[in-house]
Amino acid sequence: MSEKVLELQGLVVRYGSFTALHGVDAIFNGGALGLLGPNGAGKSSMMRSILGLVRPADGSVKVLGEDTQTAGAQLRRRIGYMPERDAYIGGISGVRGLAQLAELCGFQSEDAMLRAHDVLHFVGLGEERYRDVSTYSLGMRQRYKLAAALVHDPDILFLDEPTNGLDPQNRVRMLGLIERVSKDHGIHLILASHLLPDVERLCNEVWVLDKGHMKHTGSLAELTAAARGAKRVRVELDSVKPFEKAASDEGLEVEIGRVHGELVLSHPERIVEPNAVFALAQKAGIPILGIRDAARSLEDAFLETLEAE
Amino acid sequence: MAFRAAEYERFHGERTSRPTWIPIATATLARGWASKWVRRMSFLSLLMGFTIVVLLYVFNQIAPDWRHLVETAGSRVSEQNDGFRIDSKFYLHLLGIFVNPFVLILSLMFGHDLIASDLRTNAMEAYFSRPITPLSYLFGRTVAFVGFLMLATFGPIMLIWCGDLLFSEEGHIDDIANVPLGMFLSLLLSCTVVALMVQAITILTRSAIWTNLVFLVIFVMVQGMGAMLWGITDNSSFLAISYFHDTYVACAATLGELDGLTASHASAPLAFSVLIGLAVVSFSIIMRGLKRRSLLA
Repeated sequence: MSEKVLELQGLVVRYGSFTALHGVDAIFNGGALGLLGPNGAGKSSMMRSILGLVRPADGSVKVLGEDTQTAGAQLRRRIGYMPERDAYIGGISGVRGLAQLAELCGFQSEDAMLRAHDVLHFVGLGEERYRDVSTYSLGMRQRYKLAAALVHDPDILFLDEPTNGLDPQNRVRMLGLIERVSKDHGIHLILASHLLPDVERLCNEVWVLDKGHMKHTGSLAELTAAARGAKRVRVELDSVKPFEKAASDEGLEVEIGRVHGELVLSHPERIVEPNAVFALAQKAGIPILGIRDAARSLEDAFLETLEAE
Repeated sequence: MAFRAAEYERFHGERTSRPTWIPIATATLARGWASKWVRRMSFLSLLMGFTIVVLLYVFNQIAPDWRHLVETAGSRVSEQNDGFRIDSKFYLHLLGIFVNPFVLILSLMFGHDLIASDLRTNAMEAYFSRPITPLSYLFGRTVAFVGFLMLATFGPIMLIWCGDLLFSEEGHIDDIANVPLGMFLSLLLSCTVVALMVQAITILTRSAIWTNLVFLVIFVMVQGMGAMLWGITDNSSFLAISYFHDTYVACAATLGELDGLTASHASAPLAFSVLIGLAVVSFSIIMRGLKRRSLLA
């Protein structure tokens, strides 16, 4: 049986009288996990718990099968954390700063320095490695933070808004780097991001947090799957109105899609079968240009999950 | 030049379990040593010590019995018979040359930025997401800073001690045998107090400039205030509010020369209590600040 990467059991985190997490239960078996939630949802508290930096008021957090409260410091050797804000050691070169961070995780001095060079090359900062990090551009600093998270070769990579503030080119570059590390080297990824397309691209599992409660845990495909078996149908522009009327007459719920000529057909009690759609179109004399499952975008699914009680 | 592949590779080497304060201390030493003014001040202090050693050598060459001559001359101009004798009490006078100026200067040039720099660049988040505790972090920083302070204070005093021993007659060792350990212990306490105080001020002000200003004001004002209160009340215990005075008394006590001091001074228990109290308060302030920051707030 494969080891659970992350296991939260009834996790309660309190700061004084404020409860940040209310008995959260969730299991992550590995791969890439997207952590979604609005500001104040409890993502940071969860992250602190995972890093073993905050003592749960109740419940437990297990990372790679070990309790963070008993093995917190040693577990942090196996976790690479990329914070949202800039975080670097000032007054020394980028490569020396990374080597120091690697040494803190038990690397010998020589290994740490070699590793720092390698990781900086990997993130594309090989040429700038002897510069003070404070002189780096925003994009370079983001990549430096990724290098800092990777320098001690963690088994789990925790990234907090890794593409924040990046221009499109740098964003694609950053996502590419993360994807390579996660998919090619088997490093489990936990990504907290407000940018849902990033989560969609990188993650296969999603947790949605809101006000300290876990709203959804499961695969990304599950979350964005067809709602009640709805179908997304595309017809000629001038056929939209007649097709809408024909579908309504058959007892289907019809929504106008975002793309011109697109309608979303659903039924409150049953799955809308493709054959039924074709039969409807044939009866109305309207040609169908395309039909597919009406999978929701992650954004829709995320908002719906938050709105659901 | 070795070719490095720009692809990520897993690490298969060995990891050590050495204490995490060691990389912090070595990095702090490297950072301090990288400052040319810290280097200059450390060398200046050692150079001054070396100069005194050279003078001892020269005196010894010119007049081998110069120690006796100086003692005789001293007893004639002063009521104290041992006023000009080179014994462990003589080393207390060196505190004014090496401790008072260099502790202040090195603290202003190097110590002020130890934690302020990490706060400015948010390095705490990088540190504390790794297997390091606030105590290890503070210990590593303090060890390095105390190392610099000891180099500039204890270093030259030991140079002089070695020179003194080398160019002296037999039997002189009995007069100065307690100097290395006594000085080491008292200066270690004194430098640790300064190191903790500077870092505590840093964590409160979060700024290198403000740390320096506050540190300077505390040192200068408290020094003057102690002397003023002593002048007004004639109670020498007030002198204990001055760090330098406490250092002097602590050194005198560890060298066993407290009874021989002619100038008014605070009692040794009071001086030690003030130094230890300052260390404890500073330590508490730093730990509280670090623990708050280690939660990545």
